[in-house]
Amino acid sequence: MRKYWFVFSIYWQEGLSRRASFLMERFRALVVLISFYYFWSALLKHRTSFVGYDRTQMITYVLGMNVLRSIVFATRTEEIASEINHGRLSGYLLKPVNFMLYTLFRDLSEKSINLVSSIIEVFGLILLFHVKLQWPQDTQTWFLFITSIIGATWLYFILSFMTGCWGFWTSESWGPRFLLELFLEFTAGAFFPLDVLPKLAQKIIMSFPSPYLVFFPLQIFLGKLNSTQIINGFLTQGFWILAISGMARWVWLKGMQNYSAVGS
Amino acid sequence: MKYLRIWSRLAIMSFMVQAESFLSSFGYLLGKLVRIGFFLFFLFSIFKHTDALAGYTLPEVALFFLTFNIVDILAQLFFRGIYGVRSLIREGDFDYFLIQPTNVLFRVAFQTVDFLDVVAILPVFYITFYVLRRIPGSFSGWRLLEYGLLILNGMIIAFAIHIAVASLAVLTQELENTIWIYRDLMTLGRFPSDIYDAPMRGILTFIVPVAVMVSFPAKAFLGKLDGVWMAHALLMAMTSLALSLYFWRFATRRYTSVSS
Amino acid sequence: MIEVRHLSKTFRVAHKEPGLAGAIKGLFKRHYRDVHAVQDINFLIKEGELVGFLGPNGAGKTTTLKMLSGLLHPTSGEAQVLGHVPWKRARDFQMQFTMVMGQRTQLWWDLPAWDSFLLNKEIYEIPKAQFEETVEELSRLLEIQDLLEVPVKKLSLGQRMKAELACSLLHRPRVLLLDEPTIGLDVLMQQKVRQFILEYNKRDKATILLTSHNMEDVSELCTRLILINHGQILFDGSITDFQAHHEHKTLTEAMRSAFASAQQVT
Repeated sequence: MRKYWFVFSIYWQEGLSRRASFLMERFRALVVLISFYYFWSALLKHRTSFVGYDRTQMITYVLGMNVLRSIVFATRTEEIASEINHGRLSGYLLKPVNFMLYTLFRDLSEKSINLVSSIIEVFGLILLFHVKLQWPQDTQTWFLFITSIIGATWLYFILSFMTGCWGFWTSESWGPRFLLELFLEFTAGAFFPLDVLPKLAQKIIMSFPSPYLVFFPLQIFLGKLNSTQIINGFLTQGFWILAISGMARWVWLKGMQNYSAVGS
Repeated sequence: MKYLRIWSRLAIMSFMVQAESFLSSFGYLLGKLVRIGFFLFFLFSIFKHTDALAGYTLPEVALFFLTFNIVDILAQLFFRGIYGVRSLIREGDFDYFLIQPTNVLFRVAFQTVDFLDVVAILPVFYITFYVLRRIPGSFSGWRLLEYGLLILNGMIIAFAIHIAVASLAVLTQELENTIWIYRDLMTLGRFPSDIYDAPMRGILTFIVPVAVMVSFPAKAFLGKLDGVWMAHALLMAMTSLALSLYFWRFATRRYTSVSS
Repeated sequence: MIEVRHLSKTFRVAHKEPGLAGAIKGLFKRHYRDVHAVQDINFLIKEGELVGFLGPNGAGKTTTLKMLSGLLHPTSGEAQVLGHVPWKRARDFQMQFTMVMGQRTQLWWDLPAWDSFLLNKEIYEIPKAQFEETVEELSRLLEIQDLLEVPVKKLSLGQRMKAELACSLLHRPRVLLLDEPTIGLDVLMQQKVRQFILEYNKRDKATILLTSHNMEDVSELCTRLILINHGQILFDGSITDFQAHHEHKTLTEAMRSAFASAQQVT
C-alpha cells in the first residue's frame, strides 16, 4: 500500500508544479460558479422560492456543486488512453504495481488538490458576497453525505477508467470522451439542480447513473430526501457501482488481450 | 485576393487533417451541439416556472445565449491558429512564416481553420433566426443590421484579444494558455449582462468587454441599446485592435532581436 | 549578392540559479551574461557561388544564417542580400530567397507533400503553368514523383528532406540558405541531395550558402569555404588554398588543425 501513497504524494508535487494548467482549470470552475451564482440571484430576486429551493438553498447548491465537481469529476484517466496508444502502458505492466490502483491514487491526488482549491474558492465567495448557506443540522446527515460522495467518486472513477480503456481500440478516443463527459456533467446536476427540468426529463435522467454523482449527495446535504428516498438512492448508487465495475473489468480484460495480441 | 486564396488553401488542408481523425472530430462537433442543446433545454425548463429573467422573456434570454455562441464559434472558426502559437514557435513553423512573403499575423491566426465550426455554426444560425422571428415587435431589417454589425464589432474585439494572446506567446514563448482564460470569461456572456450587479457589469462592459461582444448585439436587436453605447462598442473595438496590433509588432520585433 | 560587413550579434542570457530559492531570487534581481554569438564578421558572396559555411556547434553559423534570412536583428553591422537589408523583411526580398533548416520542416505532417506545395504556390504567387513545370522538374531531379501523394509522416527522413527541398524551391529563389541539409541522412541519400544542390546551382545560377558538419558536403560541393569559430571567421578562401595552407592531405585533418590552433590563440 505504501507505494500507492507514494504515487499520491508524487502527483501532488507534480500537480503543484503544473501550476499554470491547474490554475486554468480552477479558473474555469470559478467562472461557472460566479455565473450561476448571479443567474440564480437574479431569478430569486423577486420571489421567495424556485421549484422548492429558497435563495439560501439554491446558493448552497451552487457552491456545493463547485466542491463536488472538484472531488468527483477531477481525473487524470484521460491519460490512460494515450498511455495505451503510445505503448507506455507496458512500462507499468512490467512493474509490480496494480495499474488500476495506480490510476486510482493518481486520481485521488488530483481530486484532493482540486478539493482544497474549491473550498478556498467557496469561502472566498462567501466572504465576498456575504452569502448565507444552509448547513446540515445533525451529524447523521453529514455521515450520509460523505458516504454518498465516496460512492459518487468511486462511480465516476470506474466510469472514466473504462472510458480511458477505449484507447485499446482506437487512437482517437478524446472526441467521444468529450461528448460523454459533457453528457455526464449535465445529467449529474453539475450545472443546476435536476428538479428544474420537466418531470419526464427528470424521470429519464434518474434512470442513468449520473444523478448519483452530484445531485444525490447534494439532495442529502440540503435535507431534501426522506429516509426511504435515501435508502433507495444508496441502493441505486450501489447497483451502478457494481454493474459498472463489472463492465469496466470486462473491458479492461478484453483490452489487455487485444493489447498483448497486437504486441505494441 | 492572394490572402483569400491562401486562406481557403489553409482551410482545405485543415479540413483534410481533421478528416484523418474523423471519430474524434465528430465527437467533438457533436459535443458542442449537444452542449448548446442542453443549455437551451435548461432555459426552456426554467421558463416553465417563471415568466422573466432580469426582465427578459424566454426568446430574449435564448437570443442572448445564442449570440454568445455565434461570437464564440465564429472566433474559433477564424482565429483557431492562435491556440497553437507556442507549438508553431517550438516546431519552427513560425520562423518559416517570418521568411515568407505573407503577413505573419495572418499566417499565425489562420494556420488552422476549424472546419467543424462551419458545421456547428449552421444549426446555431438556424435556431437564432427562428428565435429572432419569435420576438414580437423587434424583427425588422434595420434591427437585424444593427445586430449583425455589433456581432462583427464583437468579432473585432475577439480578434484583438487573440492577437494580444499571440503576442504574449511570441514574447514569452509560453502563456498561450491565456487564451483559455478568455474562453472561460466569455462564458459569463451566456446570460444577459443584466443579471450581474453593478460592479460586475462595469467590469464586463469596460475592462473585459464580454458584455460588449455578446450582450450588446442582442440588446440592440431588442431595441434596448442607445447610440451612446453603440459608440462605446465601436470605440472599444477600435482601441483594442489598435493596441493589440501595436503589441504584436512590439512582440515580433523583440522575437527577431533576442531569439537564438 | 550577399554582402556582410562588421556583423555582430550579442545575446543577453539571464543567469538563473538552480532550485526554488534561485527562482525566487531571480524574480527580483537577474544576472545577465553577454554571449557573443557572432563578432564582427565580413564576407562577400557573388552571384552563382556555392559557399560552405563550417564550424563546430555554437560557432555562430545558424545565428549568421538567421540574420541573413531576416529572422534576427544584428546587434551591430550591416548586411545586404539581393540588395535588401534582410531584417526589414521586404516582400520583394522574401520572394527571391529561401532557407532550408535541416532539423525543421515546413511540410504539413499529416498531409501529402503535394498539399504543402500548393500552399507555397499561393504564398509565392506562382503562376499555374510555371508551378507545374517546376514541380515536374524538381521531382524528377529529386526522384520523388511517386512520393508526393504520400502523407509526410510516412516518408523516411531522406525522402522528407528531398520533399522539403522541392517545397522550398518552388518559387525558384535566387539565393538559398541551407542549414545542415544533409543532417541525419544515410550516405546514399546525402549523395543524392548533394548532387541535386550542385545541379540546381548550375542550372539556375543560384547563390547558395550552406552550413554543415559534414566534410564531404563541403569537399564535393563547394569551391569556397568560410570557417567560423567562436563567432569569428578563421578562414575564407578556396578549398585548395585551405588545404595547401595547412599542409595536410585531407580536408578533415586540415579542419581539425585549424580549429586546434584557433583554440590555442583564444
